[in-house]
Amino acid sequence: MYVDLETIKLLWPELILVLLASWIYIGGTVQQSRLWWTLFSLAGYVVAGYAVFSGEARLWYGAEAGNAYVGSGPLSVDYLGHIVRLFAVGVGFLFALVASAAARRELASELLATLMLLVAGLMLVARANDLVFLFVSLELVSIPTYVLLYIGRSDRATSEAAVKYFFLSILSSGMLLYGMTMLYGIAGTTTISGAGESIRAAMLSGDSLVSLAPIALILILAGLGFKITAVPFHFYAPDVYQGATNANAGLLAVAPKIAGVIALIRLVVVAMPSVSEYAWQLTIVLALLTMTLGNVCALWQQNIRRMMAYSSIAHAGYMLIGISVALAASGSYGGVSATLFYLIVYAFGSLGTFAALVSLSSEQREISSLEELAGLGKTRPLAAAAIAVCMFSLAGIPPLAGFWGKLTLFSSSIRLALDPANGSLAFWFILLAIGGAVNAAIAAAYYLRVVSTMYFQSSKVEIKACRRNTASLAMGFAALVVIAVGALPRSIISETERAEAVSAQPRLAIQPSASVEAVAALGDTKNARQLPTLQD
Amino acid sequence: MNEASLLLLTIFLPLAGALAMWQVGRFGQGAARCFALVITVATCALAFVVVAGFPGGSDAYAVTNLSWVGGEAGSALDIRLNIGLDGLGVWMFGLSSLLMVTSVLVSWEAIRDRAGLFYGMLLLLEFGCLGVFAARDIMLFYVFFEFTLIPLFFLIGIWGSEDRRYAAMKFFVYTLAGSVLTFLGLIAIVLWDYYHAGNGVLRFSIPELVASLQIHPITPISWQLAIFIALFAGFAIKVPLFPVHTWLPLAHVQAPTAGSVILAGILLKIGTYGFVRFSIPLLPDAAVIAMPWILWLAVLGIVYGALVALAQTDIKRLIAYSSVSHLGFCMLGLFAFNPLGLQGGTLQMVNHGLSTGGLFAVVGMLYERYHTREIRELGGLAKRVPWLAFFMLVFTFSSIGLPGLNGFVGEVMVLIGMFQRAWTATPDAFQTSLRVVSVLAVTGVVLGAWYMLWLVQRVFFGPLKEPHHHGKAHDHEEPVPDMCWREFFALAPLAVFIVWIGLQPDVFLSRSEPTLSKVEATVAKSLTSSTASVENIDVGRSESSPFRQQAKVTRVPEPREASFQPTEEQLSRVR
Repeated sequence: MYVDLETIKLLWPELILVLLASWIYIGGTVQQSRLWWTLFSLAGYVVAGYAVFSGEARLWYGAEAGNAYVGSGPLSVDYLGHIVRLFAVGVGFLFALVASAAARRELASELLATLMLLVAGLMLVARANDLVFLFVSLELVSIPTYVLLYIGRSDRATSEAAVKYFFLSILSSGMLLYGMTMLYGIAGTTTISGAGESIRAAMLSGDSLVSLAPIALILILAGLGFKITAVPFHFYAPDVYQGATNANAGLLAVAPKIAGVIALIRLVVVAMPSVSEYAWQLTIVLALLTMTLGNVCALWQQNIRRMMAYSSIAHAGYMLIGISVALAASGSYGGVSATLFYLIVYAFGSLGTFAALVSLSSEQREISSLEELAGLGKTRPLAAAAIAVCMFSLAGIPPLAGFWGKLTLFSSSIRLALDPANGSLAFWFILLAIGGAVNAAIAAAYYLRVVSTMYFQSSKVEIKACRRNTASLAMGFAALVVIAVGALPRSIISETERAEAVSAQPRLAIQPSASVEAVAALGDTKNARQLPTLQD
Repeated sequence: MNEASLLLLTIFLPLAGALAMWQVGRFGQGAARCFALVITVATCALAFVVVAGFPGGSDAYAVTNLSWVGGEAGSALDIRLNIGLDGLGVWMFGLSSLLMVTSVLVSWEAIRDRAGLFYGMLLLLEFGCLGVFAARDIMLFYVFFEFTLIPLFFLIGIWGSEDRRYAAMKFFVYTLAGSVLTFLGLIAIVLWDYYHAGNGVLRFSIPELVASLQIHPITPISWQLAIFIALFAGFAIKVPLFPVHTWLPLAHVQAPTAGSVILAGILLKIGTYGFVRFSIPLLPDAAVIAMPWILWLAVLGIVYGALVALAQTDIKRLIAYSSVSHLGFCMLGLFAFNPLGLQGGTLQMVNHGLSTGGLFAVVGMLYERYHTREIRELGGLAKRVPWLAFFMLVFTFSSIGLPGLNGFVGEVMVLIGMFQRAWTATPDAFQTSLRVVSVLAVTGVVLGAWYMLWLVQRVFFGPLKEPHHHGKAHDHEEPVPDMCWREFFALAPLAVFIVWIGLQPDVFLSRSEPTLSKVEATVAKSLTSSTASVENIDVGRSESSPFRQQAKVTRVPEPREASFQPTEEQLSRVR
């Protein structure tokens, strides 16, 4: 691993965010204005977003645009990273609005700065092409999360949630690290894209160390399973969400999931395609279990954060469908792009819901139980409409964004199954698609319960209308994104399809008959062009 | 303005109206209902202009084909905004626009609470219904198909009766559970075509898929059957066929009048429409195998629905069960797989929309007057509300198939089609079974006349009986009024069409016949091969050769082609 000026130059959006965050920490001791620091951090996200966009404009847009420039250094400069960075900045912007509404005045600056560090961490995860770099970036997501959980509210429930999250997150980081060391042991390199090729070479030459690969895979899946709340590593989520504030629960539903899914794509799809045979079997089982358990448990919840926790577990299961597809076959079936699209769509749906809950809560009273939403359709029609839009989208009803997420996932799975080249896989992936479809129907039941509580029941508790609430801005924006992506999915689908190139790694095919081609494909470096220098 | 942009305008006008309702609704009930009436009447007028211009024999009328999801060339998901009418969708399209006007008029006084939201949802529902029948893209169809659930969920849940929450949830989840499987089936069809017949392009256009799958039918047959079952799950629940109908009476009884009118008149037909649009032409071999099973389910629905309707004490519930029975007739005709049956089934879809839509509207008007739907609390109302009784009789006669009205034409065509299938062109294995089905179906006609006429006799004739207390806070001292002009205009158009179709069915049948005969042609090929030798179907066929030539015929079939074609004589007898 080496770091030179080129690398630093590629990271300047993240550097901007870290510098601004430090500035907010320091400035917050002098100036305690919530409005001022909110505007400051919003401006920071805009600048960082512009930097992401313009810094590499030459690579992605215009005449010479490509999709998959694989860097040899610690950074992978590819389109997947690019759009996840843009997405992370967008999520940061919206959460800044939410956090500003939720924070106590004297803590506003700390909260906003910590959030900014977290967003920088997410962006680094998107860029990592090195095991150590990836691990450190993941920690840059986790550590601010602990802080945010603690300063969200100071009562016993919150502290319990924070401690629970802290210990389990540390445990998961440990497992992930253990898996990474094994990966390093087999591959002999810390570079992620390099690891893929070395493991393949080791496998072909019959190196005995390769037998460690499944263990590495399991440990990595376990470590990242915590982050994305995949069963059986999900059990902390309901308690932690319930104990956290609405704003923090929203953050937990979105940020670790982005980090976990991207890390999963990098570590499993890119670095370990040679062991994909074990991997897809594992992820299929995980996907089916995760979806079903999440959805079935969500049916009985009365606490809305707990319900959303189970819903986020279920959605992690959906994302694993796409990951399984990307792992199972070497052809491009759109698994990665479907996962990414689903991630984006899910994030906006969840974010909109939690933002709406924040905008409805006040400092004295935090909305917790479903019953408190009763009659919202009459008392707060805009908030109710936004929540309803998000709920229908999460349930995957057309024409909202969530529907296209389901469409891309199911079609990638069925596409793999129907391809005559993968005869033996057909059964599993049809099963996966059917499991996903049945789960969509189960999920509809509890999402609809929220809508029916808001619209079909009359209100019992008066919800005070709070004016000047920045969370409702975030809520409105997220709901509009959900509707807009639903009406014109092209805008996001075409972006995520470009990111699919990352999964086009040559790998050992599963059918023995096809292995000759797989070996021949090893020399194929069509997709791995040398990183052009960024001089102008 | 050409017909394509006119059609596009017809579909999107209600959406624009619904969005504008967000603002208009703030001015209260009066503004909202007037605005909704203007929009629905305008949409109806536009739709009639489009439908009137529909030339017989066209498979692609007023087509607009715009890129939607795909965008750039080479994109995987080239789902398009592909809209147009053919002989199958055209009448349902017109009916949808007509019933929406009725729905607005019957809600005129009944809906006071949150009127803006109500009419907004009604217009959204209209957008969804019109889109379903005009979609020529398989995914666009599904988007509209599912989208209709959202507004109806709100209509039932907010403005329904006591048990509305449960009814709305059950309706939504039940329907969704089936339609997500349909979704998988539709995706599978597109992808099968992609791998075996498409030249590396994902095709979503329904006509292209039909053409392509006729040359390369889905093999092996087990795949085709699996996809058929997936589609069946969604469409059968929507129709609803016999064992999965339980959501329907609940939803109907709890829904507000407008909701019932639309649910019975339009939304149920999406199920039967789906069978004719997708299941039969895209999966003909599986449809032939499933035929006896579906016919049995249909006839069970006919008899069961009729018997349960006989036992009802609530008028609305009675009509809801009569829907189960009548849609059994539609399915019976469609799955008879001959021109008479298919045409009769398609016509019956429109007929049922007119008559049952009208019946629900009449029941709603009675409920507004008496606040009860219990049969035993009412009696002899023809003296009190003669005009309402008149319309009730028209719709009842239409529903039971009185000659001269539309129901007769549809029912007779369906039954003749079914008998033709059972006696002249049946695979031997099913001959007895299908004959039993045909005979049982006829009992449905008798039972239908029994429960409907009995209902009319109890409620409208005999000694006058009105509930003293109307349940609600107020008490009518003076007798309830007969129909007002608003109510007259809600029902009269339906009655006009009932008589028109009854007297001149040819106007309607001739335009949809060419499209339906193509559907019939696709399935007829599968039918001949299966009558020839059922066991040959799952002998592995190679993908490249059309399977008709490949299957080794062990037993030469008698040339039964002739019996599939309706003779002019048969058709003219019906007309």
